[in-house]
Amino acid sequence: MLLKGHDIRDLLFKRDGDPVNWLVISPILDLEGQLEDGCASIDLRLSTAFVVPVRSSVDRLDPQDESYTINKALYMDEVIVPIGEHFVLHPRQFALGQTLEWIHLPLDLSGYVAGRSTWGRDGLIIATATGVHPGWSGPLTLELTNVGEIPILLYPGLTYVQLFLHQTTKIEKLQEGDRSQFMGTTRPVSGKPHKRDLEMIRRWQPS
Amino acid sequence: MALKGSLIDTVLEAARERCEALEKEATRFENRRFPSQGPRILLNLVRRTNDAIKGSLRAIAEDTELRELLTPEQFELKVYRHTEFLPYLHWLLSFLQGAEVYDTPYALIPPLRRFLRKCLADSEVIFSSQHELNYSFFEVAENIRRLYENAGEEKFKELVKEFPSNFIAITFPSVETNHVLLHCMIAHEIGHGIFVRDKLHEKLFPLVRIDHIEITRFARHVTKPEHPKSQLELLPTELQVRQSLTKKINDSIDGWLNELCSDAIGLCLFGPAYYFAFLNFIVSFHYFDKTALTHPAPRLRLRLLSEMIADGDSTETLGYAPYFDDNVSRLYESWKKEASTERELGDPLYRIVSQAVTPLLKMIANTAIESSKELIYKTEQFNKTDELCRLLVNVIPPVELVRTHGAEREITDLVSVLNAGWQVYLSSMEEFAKNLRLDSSKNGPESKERLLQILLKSVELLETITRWKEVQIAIKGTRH
Repeated sequence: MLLKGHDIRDLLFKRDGDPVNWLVISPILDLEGQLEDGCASIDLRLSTAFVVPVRSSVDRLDPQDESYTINKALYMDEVIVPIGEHFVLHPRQFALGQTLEWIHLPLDLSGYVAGRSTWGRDGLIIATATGVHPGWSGPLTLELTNVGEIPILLYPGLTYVQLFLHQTTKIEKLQEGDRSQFMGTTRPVSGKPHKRDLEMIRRWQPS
Repeated sequence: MALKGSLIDTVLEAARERCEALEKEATRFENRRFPSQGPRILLNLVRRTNDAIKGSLRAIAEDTELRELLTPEQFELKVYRHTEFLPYLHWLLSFLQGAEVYDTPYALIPPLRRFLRKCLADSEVIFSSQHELNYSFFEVAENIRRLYENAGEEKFKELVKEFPSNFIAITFPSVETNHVLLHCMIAHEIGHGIFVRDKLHEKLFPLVRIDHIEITRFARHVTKPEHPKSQLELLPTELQVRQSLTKKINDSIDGWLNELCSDAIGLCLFGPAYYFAFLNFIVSFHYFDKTALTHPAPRLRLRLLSEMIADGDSTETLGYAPYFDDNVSRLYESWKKEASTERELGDPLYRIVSQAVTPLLKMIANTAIESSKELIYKTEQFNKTDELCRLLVNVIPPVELVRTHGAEREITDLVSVLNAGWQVYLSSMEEFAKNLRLDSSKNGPESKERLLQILLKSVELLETITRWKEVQIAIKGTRH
């Protein structure tokens, strides 16, 4: 079931029992503006940290390569843009951003993030794979791309994305290692593929 | 005349080169991002001063009449009146070097600046990371004003007219940039500012009782006529030794009072968070009885802090101890016991200083509490941090507390967040790591790193909420 605005509002103010079962979206700077009862999502703001790819001596990103993580670090630069200033996303440029808000989902909610259509119409594509799993805690990383022909100025503090929340079957308990790669990270970071899968593909022989 | 002319040109040319290099460096900083206004204010002063020097040097170079009128000495002095600023401008730029958003815990700077301005009204501040395992405090405005006003040139006086009346530079160790909990040491640095502002030296120094008999005994020991006669003439007299010792002891007492008072003020401002940061920082690279002319031994500093933290309703205690959880209580009690153990210092000079200062610990605590007044981190506030710890352990930034009645959100404060952070750091890291669901192999350093990140994010969010409200009020104000 997709939660409506007033359902989200009720959950945001429900603080019974174990915090693991709380829905936390913090801070909501303008509750009325970000969460309308008639809508089925809550608007989220852009944070101040960006990560951008830079041209460097790194020749490729190969997840099978041992230096994959190091290469990614060399390939990405962090840019801090305080609220009040702007970040320029050039045509066809890719950058990672983050929501200003910290999101903590209970064990019976999941969500997904979509760019607000206001910006999509300008050529800004946000979020290509941002499913949010039950029990997640942290800001959400946003994948930003400008598919238009002229630079787009991004202002931290403005609402760029919307979070849809779904009721799911309740997970009783999260285990060590469950979706934890990015839990509690506060910078837009890129991830690592599953080791098991990489091993499988490496050993794969044509039948 | 020819020689005079060529020397002058060399001096002017060399000075102009220095200015051009400085200008280049200042331009480099112009394009950087800083987390608060302080660095820009300082950069602006450096640029304008450099421009003024360059302008003056050009004018001097072009003024042929002046060359004829002045003697070489007068001319040299005229040029020096301008170039004497150059080394100082370099020193000011050194603070900018570590002040960029990438060199600082940038999210912590705006709320820290806000906090500092509550303590020292009308102050501007620059936080700068330096490659030094140290936190330091410099009040630069007074020096700048003195230098500019004594320069004898009207334009330099003009330059500092709009400069803040207090401008503070606080440095912190660059390799610890993200250790937001360690940066509670900055409370001690703010203490230095309050020590100067309230002239606490004048309140405390008259109460110091120096053991002059001990000084005399020591002076006699140093000058006793056991040496061969031929060497005796080379040795200082007893009186000279006494004078020099007394001066050293007075200077040392000055330093110790300043440090101890700043510790006590740091505790008043940041509560137990300062105490834990002090412990974590100081014991990591000092031995417990390491004493210096400027700084008392950690043992004495810790004794003062432990006594102030203890339970009690006297005017020199803050009484946080009863609110510690079991783990923190055990840690506190063992450090308190260690700090209260008397150890005689080996160096007779430090022994005399210690004997003079130690009886004043209660008075120092009292004076610090009196000076901190409305800014004291109260036990009621500290008691509430339990609720914040519960959030933090569950990987939720302790920024907003929802009060179910009326759906109100209560915003927490910087110091409470830091105190909650320390308690989790000391007591609940296992539970925190479990909630992060990290692989067990990553539990140690990785979970600590994430805790520090969440705390940094928390203070960033706190500042965003505060600024949002301020701007809302400002907009409402302009509409009316």
